[in-house]
Amino acid sequence: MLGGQALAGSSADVYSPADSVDFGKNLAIALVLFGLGAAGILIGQVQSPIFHTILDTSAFLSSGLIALLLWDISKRTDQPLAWFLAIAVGVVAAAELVHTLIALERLSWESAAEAEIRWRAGSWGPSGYIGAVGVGTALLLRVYPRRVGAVFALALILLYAALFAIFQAAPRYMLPGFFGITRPTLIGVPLLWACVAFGYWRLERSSQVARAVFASAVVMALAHCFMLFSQPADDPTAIIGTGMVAHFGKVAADLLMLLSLTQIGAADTARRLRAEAELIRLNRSLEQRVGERTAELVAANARLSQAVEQRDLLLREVYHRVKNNLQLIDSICTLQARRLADPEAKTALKGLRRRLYALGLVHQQLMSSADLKTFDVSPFLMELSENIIEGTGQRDIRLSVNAIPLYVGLDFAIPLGLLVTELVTNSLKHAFPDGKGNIEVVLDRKEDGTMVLVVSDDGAGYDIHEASHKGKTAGLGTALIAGLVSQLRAVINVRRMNGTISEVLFAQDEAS
Amino acid sequence: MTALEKAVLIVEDEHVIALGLAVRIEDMGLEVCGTADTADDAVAQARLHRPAVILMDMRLRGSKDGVDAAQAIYESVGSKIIFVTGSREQKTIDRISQDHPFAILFKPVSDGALEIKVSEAMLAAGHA
Repeated sequence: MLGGQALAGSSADVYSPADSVDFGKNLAIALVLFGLGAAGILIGQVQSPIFHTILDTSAFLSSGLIALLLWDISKRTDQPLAWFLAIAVGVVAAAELVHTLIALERLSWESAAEAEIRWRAGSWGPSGYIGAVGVGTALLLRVYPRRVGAVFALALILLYAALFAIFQAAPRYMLPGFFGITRPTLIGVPLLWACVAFGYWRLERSSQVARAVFASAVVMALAHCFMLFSQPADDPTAIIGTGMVAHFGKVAADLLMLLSLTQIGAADTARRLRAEAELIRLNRSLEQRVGERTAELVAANARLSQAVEQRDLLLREVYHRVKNNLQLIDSICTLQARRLADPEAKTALKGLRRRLYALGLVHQQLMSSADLKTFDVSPFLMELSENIIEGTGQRDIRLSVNAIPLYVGLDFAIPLGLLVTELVTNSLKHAFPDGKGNIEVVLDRKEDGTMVLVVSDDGAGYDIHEASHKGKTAGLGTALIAGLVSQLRAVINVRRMNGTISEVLFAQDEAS
Repeated sequence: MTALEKAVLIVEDEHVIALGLAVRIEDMGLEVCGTADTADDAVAQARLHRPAVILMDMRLRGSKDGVDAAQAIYESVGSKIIFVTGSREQKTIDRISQDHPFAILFKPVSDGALEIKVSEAMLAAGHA
């Protein structure tokens, strides 16, 4: 795969023939081209040094171009195989250049024909071997890091030098022997290319570059077979043109490789364009869905806030009505008290009004709270206690309220408010015969989390048990205190120490 | 403008509550010159009796509320107006504040708070 592997997944479902390269077809085209060329050369008995140079130059240029393309691919896609192939083909291109340029060389004592055989024919073998060995080794090296490439290049160059020396020593042409082969030293080249083709075909099915190499290697193997039968041009028994067919085949193999690599790039571009189009389409549909979903959420949100608003409105209205009804009862008590002559009955109604006030105050606090459920207990206790003290008309009683910040709900505030009402009322009733003194209301949290409510005075004192025997009003207050303490799951301690201290202990979770 | 009467006008749409307030005012030793349950009646009675102090509920019978009545009374009579409201919402308080209230009391109104504010209003109106 040339590039865009990240997109391979997303484009799999939009597979198109335009996205892939048909290496079989390429190979067929190359083989047909090679066949036609070979037939033309053999029938036409082409054996021109100029034609030879044209083909050598073509082989150099095409392999050089292939090396550059592979290098580019390896840079872009980070494929080690392309990197090692680029090095191998690069060395081959250099060898092809040597083979091309060396035709210009001639030692002073040589004839043109002798030079042709010594240099041109002598440098064919090394470049042939170096190509097959290099491309084959690249396959084996593909699992190694890229830095191995330097060693690989050096090894190939040294191998080329060694082969060059060996081929200078070895005879170029021999009399037709086994199967009529005239150049047995070159027998390894087509065999090696066949091995390369087999190796690439078997080992690297997933890589498109490897498929391209496979196709070219097949043509290379065939081309190099023809070279085995080449003979010097001046040999009258020679089959004219076998060498040129081999040259032509090599160029055809290179062109096949170029075609394949170009197609890989084009296919990749096609795949990327398709993927991009798909991505744009998906993005659009995603945006549309996001838009729809957002609209739905906005609508749901609006419905919810409307529901919450309605709930708040209803709650406020309910609190208001409860408060109003309490106010009505309070007014009736006021009116009734006026018509009563019995002081005990008047006192009882006054006591009832105090308790109604506590209930009304809880609802007032709830109405003005932000969440309509809880309110801060501190100002509530202050207003509650103040009202009780004001009600007695005793102006010289100082009240202090110290409460920790604590948000309480209806279920806790009502018993707490009533309890504080009773305890403060008791202090007022029994503690200050001369109408002077201090009352303190404290709500605090102990270290162990227990909540403590303290109502204390510095007055004459009373006994909750004694008080209960004195009369109905005191009895009612005591009964209420007992009931409220029990409702709060609390414990009450009453102590007399420079006054009366009532301490109510209850668990924190009762308050929430 | 002549001096206002040392009397209290009670504006409240719940008659029983109005009666209760009247008793509490009378228990302070003050005269209640009348009660009204609509804004228009409140304005009419205020013009008639010229009371020094008016206890004004926010919610009244009819389309006008306590602030509408108070506005008209403030301009024509000049009584000290103590608002008595069931709502502690900022919206209500803001509306009341537009209209020169002498004081705002929140229901339930304690006897002590009522007496203090009414006495202060009387004093401010020139009645000891």
